[in-house]
Amino acid sequence: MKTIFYFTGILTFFFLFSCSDKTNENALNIEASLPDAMLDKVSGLQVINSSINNKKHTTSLLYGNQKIVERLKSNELKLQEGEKLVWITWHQKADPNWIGAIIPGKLVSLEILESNAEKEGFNYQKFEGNKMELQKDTLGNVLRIKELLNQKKANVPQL
Amino acid sequence: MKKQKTYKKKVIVILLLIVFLIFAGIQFIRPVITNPPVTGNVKVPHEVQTILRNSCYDCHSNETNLSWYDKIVPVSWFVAQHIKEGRSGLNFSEWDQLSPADQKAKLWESVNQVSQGAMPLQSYTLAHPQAKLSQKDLKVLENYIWGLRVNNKPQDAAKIKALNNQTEELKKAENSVKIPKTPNGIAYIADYKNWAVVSTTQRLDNGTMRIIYGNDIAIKAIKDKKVNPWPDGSILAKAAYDEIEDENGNISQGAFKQVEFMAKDHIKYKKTNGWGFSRFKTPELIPYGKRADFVIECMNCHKPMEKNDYVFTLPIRQ
Repeated sequence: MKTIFYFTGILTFFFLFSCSDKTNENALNIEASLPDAMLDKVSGLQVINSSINNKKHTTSLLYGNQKIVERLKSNELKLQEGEKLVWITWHQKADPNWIGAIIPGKLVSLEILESNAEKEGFNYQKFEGNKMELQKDTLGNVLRIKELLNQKKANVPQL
Repeated sequence: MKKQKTYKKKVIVILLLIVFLIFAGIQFIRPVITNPPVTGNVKVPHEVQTILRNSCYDCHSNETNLSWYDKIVPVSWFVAQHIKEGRSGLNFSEWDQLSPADQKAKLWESVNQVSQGAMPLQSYTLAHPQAKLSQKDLKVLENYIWGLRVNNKPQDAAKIKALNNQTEELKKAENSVKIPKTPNGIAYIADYKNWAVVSTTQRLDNGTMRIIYGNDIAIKAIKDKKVNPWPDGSILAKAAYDEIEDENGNISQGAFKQVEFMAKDHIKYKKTNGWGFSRFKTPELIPYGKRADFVIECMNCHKPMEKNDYVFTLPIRQ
């Protein structure tokens, strides 16, 4: 009898916890989230802009470190020493909570452009797909880097 | 023995009589439910109008059609309250009093409420089953508002000009020292621009794009997958922008339109479902709302999201 009570107790707890996890999972956009191993890639960075491609149905967020965000106020292009940009792109999907709203869906890519003091140039890395695998094919990189460096900072209130 | 039985019977009869008299008496304390004149009806296609009349008009118009059982006290007290609240939030008979932009926003919000199952209220459809919308009715409403969505003009000169003007103004603007406050006493938080991002949204109903930011507490809650409910101290900021589209379908952020905040404190903001709502418009950050009760509008709109702690945004872990 005791054992039955004991197991029923454990099962109830298990059930309760799985329920609360579910409510939290349903309140998150898991599909668009970065895999755990990539979670540190944008921490501490600030948003420079958000963009959409209406033909490819993708949406992107461009992040930069403090150094580039400060400098972008002066509107200069070209990456300078100590500067870093991270560009995340998602496929778009319909928002289940609002008719006519479109939100990020599956991950397309995460690109990192960092200045490299030693080589007097920069490092470019591209991770692709929902598993965020490092892309070795460098074809098209020059074009992406050019596009990245052409981005402008969105207006924000002065205050 | 017999005497006692008759005595009991008498007491019951008297009690019933008293209850009946009270019931009959309170019928005279009847709330006044009137139908004020229709100043300007909503202008929508006939089939949409039919659905609105059937499912929404009893509480959201000046053409309320009461059933006999709605008029019996005490039911009629609740009915009157529902109608009062319903009309103040949305009134299809006084449609002319809203700007065209507000008319569209209200209609869009209403259809979204129906599609999320928040409207018509369950307590209403229980007593009025004929007001329930079928899947076909919902499709008619959704198709209609879908036709009202904004299609961007490539290289929209007006939007580009608005952006350029705003950028110039921002360069000239002196940093104001006075922090704006909404009528419910919530101050603007300048630091939101440095917060991490929760998600983004493209809104086809009004042609805007938004970035949703979260403060440290909110971001930690997302990382820990503990957002339902959100912990006290979480603040979400949603900044809206025009969209500027080029010939290749690339959309970039146009002029800054507004920033809205939701601050969680389940005790301080108990009356507004645990959230303090505020909105500041244009880069001048003009507080939204004339009186403190403007938050009723915020709460009504967010009500269908009760299961998500009243938050529409689905956060991205990043």
